[in-house]
Amino acid sequence: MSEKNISQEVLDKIKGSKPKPKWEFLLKEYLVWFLGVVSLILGALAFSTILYMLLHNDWDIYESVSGSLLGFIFYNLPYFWLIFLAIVIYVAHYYIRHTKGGYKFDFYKIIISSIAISIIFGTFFYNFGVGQAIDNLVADKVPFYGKFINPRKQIWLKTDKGFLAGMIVQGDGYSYIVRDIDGNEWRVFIKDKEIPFEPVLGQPIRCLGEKVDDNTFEAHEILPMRGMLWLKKQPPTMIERNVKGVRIIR
Amino acid sequence: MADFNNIENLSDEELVKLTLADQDNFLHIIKRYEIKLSYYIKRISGLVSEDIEDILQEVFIKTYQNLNNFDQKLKFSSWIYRIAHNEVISNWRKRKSRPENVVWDAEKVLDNIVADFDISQDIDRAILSKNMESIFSKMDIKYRDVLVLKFIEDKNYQEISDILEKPMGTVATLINRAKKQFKKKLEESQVKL
Repeated sequence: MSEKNISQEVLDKIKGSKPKPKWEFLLKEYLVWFLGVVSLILGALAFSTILYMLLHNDWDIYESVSGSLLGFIFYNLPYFWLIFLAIVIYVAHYYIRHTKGGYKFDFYKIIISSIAISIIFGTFFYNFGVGQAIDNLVADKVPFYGKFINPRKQIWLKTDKGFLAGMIVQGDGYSYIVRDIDGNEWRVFIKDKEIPFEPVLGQPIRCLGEKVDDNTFEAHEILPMRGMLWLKKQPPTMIERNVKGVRIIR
Repeated sequence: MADFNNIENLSDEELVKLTLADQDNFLHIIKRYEIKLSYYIKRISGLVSEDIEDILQEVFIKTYQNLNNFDQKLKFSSWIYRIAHNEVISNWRKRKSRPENVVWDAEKVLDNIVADFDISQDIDRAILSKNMESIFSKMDIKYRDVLVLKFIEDKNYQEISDILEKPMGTVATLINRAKKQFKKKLEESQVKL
C-alpha cells in the first residue's frame, strides 16, 4: 500500500475545500427529530380517533348487530385507523432511529415507547374531543369514509335488515321523520314501546325494527346515537322545527 | 501545521480541533489511521490493493468533509471506523460479489477463536489455519465484519455498536450468529473437531 500517495492524494483532493458547516448537520438532525415528533403526534391523533370509535359504538346492541360479541368486535374494529397508527409508528421509529444516537435503541424499545406515547397523548386528545372532531372531519371530507374508514356507516344503512340511523327532523311523539345517512327521509313508527329518552329535533338516533316500504320504517327500539355525530351536520329545516311534541333544539 | 513532535501526545479529538483550524493537520489523522483502516477494509472486503486504496481515499475525504458532524461523545476511532464500514458496505452493494481472498493475522485470530468459539482445543491448528481464509471468505459480510471488529481490531461491544450503528443487544446477537456460522462453515470444510 502506497502510504505516501494516499495521504498526498487525499490532501490534494480536499485542498481549498472546507468541512461542511455545523449548521447543516444540526438542521438535518432537527429535521429528523421534527419528522419523528410529527409522526408521534399523528399516532396520538389516530389513537384518539380509535378510542372514540371504539367507545362510541353499538356495544349496547351488539347482539342485534352481529349476533356475537366476537363477531361484533371483528366487524367494528377501526381497521383504517389501526393501520394508519401502525404506519406512523413505524415512520416514527424510522426517524428516531436516524437521529444521532438513535441507533443505540433497539427496534422493540422504540416501537413500544412510540405506542405508549401515542396511547398517553391520544387519550389526552380524546378527552378534549379531538377523536370526535377527526371522525367528523374525515366523514365530511373523505369520500370512501363509509366503505373503508367506518364500517358502522354501512350497517346503519341496511334498512332491509332492520337498521336505520339518522337525525330526527320532525315528530309528534308517535312517529318521527328521520333523515338517514344518505339524506333520505323516513317516517318512523314506534311499535308497542316507549322511547327510553326524550327525543329532540336534530338528534341523531338509531332505530331497530323493520322496513315497511321505501320510506316507512317500523321501529321496535329507538336509541340515541353513539358516535357518528357528523349526522348532526344535516340540520332540520325551518318548517320541520314547528312541530308539536318535539322540543326544538336550535 | 502543528509541531510533529507533539502530535504523538495529542488525542484524536484534539487533532480534529486542530484540523478544523488548519486543514494541513488532517495529514496526522490520515497517518494515524491509514494502516489500521486499510487492514480493516482488506479483512472485511477481501478486495485488491487498488480498490482498497480507492475506498480508503473516499473514507478520508468523507471524514474531512464531515468533521463538524463528529460527535464528541463518541471515540473518534469508532466514528472513522463507522465511515470505513459504511464505505465498504456501499462498495460491496455495488459489486454484489463475495471476496476472493480475505486476509487474516492467522495466529492472533486462531488464539481468539479457539478460546472464544467453543472449538475443541484438540483441533489441528495447522488445518484450521489453512482453512480459515476460505471459511471467512464464505461468511456473510455482516458476520465477517463483526468478527473482525471483535477479534482482530479488539473493539469492545460499545465501540462495535457505535461503528455498526446498531444497539449493543444486536451486536451481541450478531457475534453469536457469526460464531455459529463460522463453526458451521468449519464443519462444512470437513475440519475434524
